[in-house]
Amino acid sequence: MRGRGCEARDAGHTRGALYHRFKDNEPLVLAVLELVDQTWSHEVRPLVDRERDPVAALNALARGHAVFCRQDLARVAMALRLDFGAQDLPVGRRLEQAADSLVERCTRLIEAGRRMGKIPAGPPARTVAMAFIGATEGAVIVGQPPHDEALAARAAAGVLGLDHERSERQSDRKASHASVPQRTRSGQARRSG
Amino acid sequence: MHVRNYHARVPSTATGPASGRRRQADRSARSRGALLEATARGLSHYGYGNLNLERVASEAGYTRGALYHQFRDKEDLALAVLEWVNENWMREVGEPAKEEPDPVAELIALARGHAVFCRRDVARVVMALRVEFSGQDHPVGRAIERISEAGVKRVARLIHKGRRDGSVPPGPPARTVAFAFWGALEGAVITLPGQAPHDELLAARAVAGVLGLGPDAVPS
Repeated sequence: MRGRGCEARDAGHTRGALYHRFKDNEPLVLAVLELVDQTWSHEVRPLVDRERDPVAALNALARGHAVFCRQDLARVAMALRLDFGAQDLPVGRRLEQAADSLVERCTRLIEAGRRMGKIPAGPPARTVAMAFIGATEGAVIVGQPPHDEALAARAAAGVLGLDHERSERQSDRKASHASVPQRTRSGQARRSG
Repeated sequence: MHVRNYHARVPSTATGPASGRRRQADRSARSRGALLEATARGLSHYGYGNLNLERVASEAGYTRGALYHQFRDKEDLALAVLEWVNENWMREVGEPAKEEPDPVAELIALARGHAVFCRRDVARVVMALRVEFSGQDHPVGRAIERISEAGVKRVARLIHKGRRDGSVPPGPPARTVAFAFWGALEGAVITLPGQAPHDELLAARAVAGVLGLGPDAVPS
């Protein structure tokens, strides 16, 4: 439930085809989105917050978000976000709020990385952040475990203009992965390592 | 571009039955092009389920009857739109990329070309329909699968070729990487509407990352 914000609406994605299937169950959809948000905050945010280096934090975010997106629940939220029929309804507002929050987090990390000279200059940080999330989610949504996580991280590093191997080295992978719950597509958690 | 071609007036000073048939064929091609374009825009905005054929016909400047003269039903129209968009993609992105001298250059050209192609909302119809028909056994869903499969096969072939000549590093199976290539590319592009020229650069960077190439593969 992260990534695309109001910019996509401007491109005319006001289809509503998918939302149409759920419109009689709005409270249920909102509850599902709330659960997706809480799960993300519990499983992915700590991995990002523990990293002091912005590049390592972005790498942890890409990997953690990729694993998180394997869950069916997260996939429903991603599909709903592509379907902007709900844009002026509570579901649409909820989706936009979550998307903006993640883009903001990424933008701050990219700006910090650029200030430290670790991320090369380029397009506006917010634009890069949106592509970062889009590429990560896109790689995962069509990908297959276990390669999806690494390929999503590679896509994310590419968007930042970084060498993937280098950004992996900057990550404290031991710390990051000791407690990453490895999600299967059905959402069952198992510990890595 | 294709849209202009469909609407181009064909000047003719010839007379007689042959020129009459030609004028009729021209009119028919123009109305078909206008209807396909209006349908593609409608599918991108409202999806297949909510697509209103009367509105499509009216936006194209024709009646509902004229639409049914050219297309059997909504499914027939959607399948024709997919074919039309795919033909345009091949002409504007797929074929020009084949001119590149090596596999990496062709892969990056595909990404850049696809990002530019997707700036038009009619081009996004494939992505829009893929979401709507995901997991459904439907002729439109199957047509999208065929288009996607052709793209995955082409990219996987290029990855194999690049790995053989050492320009693409080894890694996960080529077909798996090819899926991630298209996923990352479309994921990046769909988040960046109206963000030209950054969309093209960032899409190319995303696929370079997936392929395991360094940032030098995509000069800004």
